[in-house]
Amino acid sequence: MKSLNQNDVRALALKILIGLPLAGFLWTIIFRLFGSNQLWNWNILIVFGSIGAVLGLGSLAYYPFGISVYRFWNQLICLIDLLIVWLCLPLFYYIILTPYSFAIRICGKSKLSFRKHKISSYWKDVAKPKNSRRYLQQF
Amino acid sequence: MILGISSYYHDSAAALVGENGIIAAAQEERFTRIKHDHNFPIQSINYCLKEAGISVEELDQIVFYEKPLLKFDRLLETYIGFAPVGLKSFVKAMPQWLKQKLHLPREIKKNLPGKWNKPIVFTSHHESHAASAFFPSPFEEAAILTMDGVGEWDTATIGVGEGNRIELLRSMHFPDSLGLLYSAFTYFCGFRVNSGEYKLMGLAPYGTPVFKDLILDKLIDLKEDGSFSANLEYFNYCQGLTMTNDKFAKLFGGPPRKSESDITEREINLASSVQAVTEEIVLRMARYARELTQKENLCLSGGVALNCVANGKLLEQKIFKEIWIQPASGDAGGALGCALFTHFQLMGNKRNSSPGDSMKGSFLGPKFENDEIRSFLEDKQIPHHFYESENELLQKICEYVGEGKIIGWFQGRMEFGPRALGGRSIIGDARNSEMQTKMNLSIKFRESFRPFAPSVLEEETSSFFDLKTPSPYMLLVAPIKHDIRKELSQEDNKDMKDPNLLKRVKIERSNLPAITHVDYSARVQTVNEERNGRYYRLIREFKKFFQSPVLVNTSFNIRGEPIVCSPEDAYRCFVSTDMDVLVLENFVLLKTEQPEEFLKEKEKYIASFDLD
Repeated sequence: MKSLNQNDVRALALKILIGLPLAGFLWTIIFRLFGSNQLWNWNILIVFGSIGAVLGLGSLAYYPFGISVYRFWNQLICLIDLLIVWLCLPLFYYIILTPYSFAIRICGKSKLSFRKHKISSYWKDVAKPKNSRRYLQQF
Repeated sequence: MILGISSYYHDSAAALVGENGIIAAAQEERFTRIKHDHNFPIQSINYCLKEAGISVEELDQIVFYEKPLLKFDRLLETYIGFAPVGLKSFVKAMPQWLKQKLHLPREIKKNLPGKWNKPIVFTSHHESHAASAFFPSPFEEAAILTMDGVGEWDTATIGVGEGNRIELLRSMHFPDSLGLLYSAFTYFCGFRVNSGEYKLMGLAPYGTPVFKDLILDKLIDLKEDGSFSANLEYFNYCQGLTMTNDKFAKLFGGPPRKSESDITEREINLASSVQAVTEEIVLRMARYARELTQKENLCLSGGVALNCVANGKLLEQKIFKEIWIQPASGDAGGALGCALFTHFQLMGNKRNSSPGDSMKGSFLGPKFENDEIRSFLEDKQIPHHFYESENELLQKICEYVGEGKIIGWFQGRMEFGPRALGGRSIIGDARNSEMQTKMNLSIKFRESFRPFAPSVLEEETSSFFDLKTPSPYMLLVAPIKHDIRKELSQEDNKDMKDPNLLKRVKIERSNLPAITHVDYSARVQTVNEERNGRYYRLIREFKKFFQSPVLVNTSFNIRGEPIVCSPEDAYRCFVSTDMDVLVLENFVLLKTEQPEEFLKEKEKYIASFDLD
């Protein structure tokens, strides 16, 4: 992890201070619009706002507290990241990519599964670049 | 001016090319002290810009050394080819692609030390290698052969260079790769992929190629033109996190060797066998390149071009009149290649090939002046001696070398590429029979079997080595002359069969035992005054003193550590090893005079680097 400085801690504190109440407000609106009883539930905003205020103001006021919040926040992000990686990517791999892979292979279109063997040479001709604009492309 | 960047795989680097040729180039690992650092080369870029005295905004172009979307295409095709197998590899690779590599222009612009609003240029991986091989070479026209693990899809290419243009003519595609074949054996023999390949090459001469036919029969279908197809039934590198699978292990009599465990006769013979196969493939590819291009000279690049044993065989076969090999042939050299490609081919600048080459001896990194070193030494209160006169300095160092002392030699600009060429080197007396063992075990802390390379005065090369061409970048292995070889006694021959490789290493095979490998070969660096300056004058002085124009030259680092970059790095390495003397430009530091508190840091220092 890179070494921390006061600016990093301050930037995160401001994000939390503003971001958490905003997130709470958004959830309140969502519950109002799509909830079963269609009422304004201000408790969500109060809880999010309070957490944001405590963590954000606390970090701004007392640097060592800010460092702890910063570290906790980053660990939380890593945990969420890990969950997404290990939930979403395997789901994508097995539900989308694997059936697609089978289909491609059944059609004989997979470059790796249907490699030509017993040919006289494995060298391939290199296509000449049509123009130098291709060097501005990433493919 | 053009900035070339290679990064996000391994060996990140930056290079700067201007009107008058290459201005600067450096690998990020030297600054961050993380071996093979793959992160964005911000410190290398900062150094290159500082060397030219310009800012990012003053650059004409920024070039990246490969095409990321083509590489991503290869990755997806590979998973499609093997799904549902390959999940672990997919989950490991994808986050970095999704967060970073698929947004390279954004990532590059975000990380640059300045504003850049123009487009970024992308050359292909092997175009970058080919450009790094041809454009700095001394040839007006030449065939080009690039071989490595894999770039986007290409694993090897044959091309042609003429004037200020190169053209790739043929390519071999993933998964058929000579680099990956060699790396598979590197992995199986218990060494780290992308860094242990040198070890395998060093191990090869101890064995016999008993598995060569098996490799050719079962693992690859090799054609007369050097192209081949890998039998994927035996490999795991497409879909897994390892290079080989159980079938491979069964074929070679058991599981892969565990890292740091004893090296057995099997690993030794495997190293010898894959080396023999590699040489066979390289020779066939070179013959085909000659036939295809009809050029007299050859330029080589790509990771496989660092296989100096194969390069030596290629030279010996005289398929080409002359060969030039890019000293930074690995991916770091891609930064230089893509910048040169843009400068010459895309911007149409005139190229004048010079009789030597335009690599400036590969001394393209930072230099530290005496004043900077003095302020470092005084700041840390490090005892030292200053020699105003170069002559006196060199005489003193020769005296130390003659006494069997080991010297940390830090002078001039840092080398670009994996070899230390006399800028950041550890040197010793090649005539000393204890030197190899001492350097391996108490200086470098590395495996006892690994050989050391000689630096020899260019004009004296033919007296010691069967080598008729200069080898300034230590990329050619040549046989030791018969008249300086020593006959092995009966006891020596018995020791040569001993499973303990240290016993085999200790046998004196020539008048230069420290640099003579078990097969009477040496990885030669020829040194001349124009290219090597003070280092040349040191060896010349040594010859005057001791009638020997040969020194042992190894990189200034310990195992797992990047080569030192700054005087601080050099001093830390010096006090943590059994080196006797440190030369920092005109300053000489003696181990015996160093404060106790610095010498106690040894264990901590060694532990700070992962074993490679």
